[in-house]
Amino acid sequence: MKKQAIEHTRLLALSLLAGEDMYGYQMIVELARRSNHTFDMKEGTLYPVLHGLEQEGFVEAYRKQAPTGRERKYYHLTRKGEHALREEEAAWRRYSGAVNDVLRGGAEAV
Amino acid sequence: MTRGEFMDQVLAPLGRLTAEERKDVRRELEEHVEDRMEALLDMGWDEALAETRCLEAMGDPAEIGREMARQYPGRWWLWLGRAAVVLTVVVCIQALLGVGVLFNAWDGLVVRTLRPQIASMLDEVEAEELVDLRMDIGNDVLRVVRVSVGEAEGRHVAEIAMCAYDRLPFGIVAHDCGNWITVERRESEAHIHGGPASRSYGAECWQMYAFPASGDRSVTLTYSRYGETVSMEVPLPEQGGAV
Repeated sequence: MKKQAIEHTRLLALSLLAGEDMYGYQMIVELARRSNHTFDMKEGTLYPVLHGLEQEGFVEAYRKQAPTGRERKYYHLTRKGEHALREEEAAWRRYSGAVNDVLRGGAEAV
Repeated sequence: MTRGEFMDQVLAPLGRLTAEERKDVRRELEEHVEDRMEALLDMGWDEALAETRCLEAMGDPAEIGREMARQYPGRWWLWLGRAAVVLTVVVCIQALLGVGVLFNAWDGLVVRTLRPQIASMLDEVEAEELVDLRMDIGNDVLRVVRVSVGEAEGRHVAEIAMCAYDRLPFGIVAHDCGNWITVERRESEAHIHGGPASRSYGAECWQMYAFPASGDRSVTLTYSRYGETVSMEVPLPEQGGAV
């Protein structure tokens, strides 16, 4: 269950970075906003995911001044990361579609 | 748990990362806590409470550390690099010991900062005084460390124990500098030369002898070479003084 949660975090992180380059805290805030606070993840667990993505070449990190005036570590989605996002997104849609099909079947049976 | 303890726990399993990478992880997490703290403080939270809340929101530091460590597998090249550094240092130390550079540097350090042990050749010491008199001789420094008077081979003798070292900390002392030093009685020109008691490339120590007349209160050391002549008065210890 924990492993699956982290894989979801990978997908969410890649998805967030598809829009713009972000730093960790900004991603957490944006994730909460977009999901209407549905994803209540432990914030520190985002960083191993980001470092893993960086090791795999899916994202690149660089330091830049944030709008707050402080320097922060930003992550940028690479072409390899875009490709991985498309694949993981497709896999997720297949998975969620299958779950929906099962749920619909259950609802019809009731 | 304080913020520092939290960061330490995260970093504990990250030994396979380079120092730079560990620093980067710590900085990034601290920046996150800083941003979250600022948001809570803006909402009117108490600072201590805000920090506790931030660290709780971060999650289990040990788990974050473990997960972070998993992202950096197979760092064999890093260990190879570290082993190469250690091996290089060991080889360098062995090489330096082999050519005596370290011993020379050590000898030079001892004679300039400590009080080197120079044996007395007197049969009977009547008076002795530990001194620290220094004089520049060429590129080296002459240091007198002890003056004694006593008997040697039935004669009344003054013994002056001295060392020479290079002015530069790791420099090499002129090996024959002692040959250009004479010791004279104040009232007459009689002098006796001495020989090196110990020798290395970093320092030389030896004793010189004079035959002071009764009533002499000092002897003169003179260095004369390449047109440079410098002298130093060396007071003799009082008879009946400390031995």
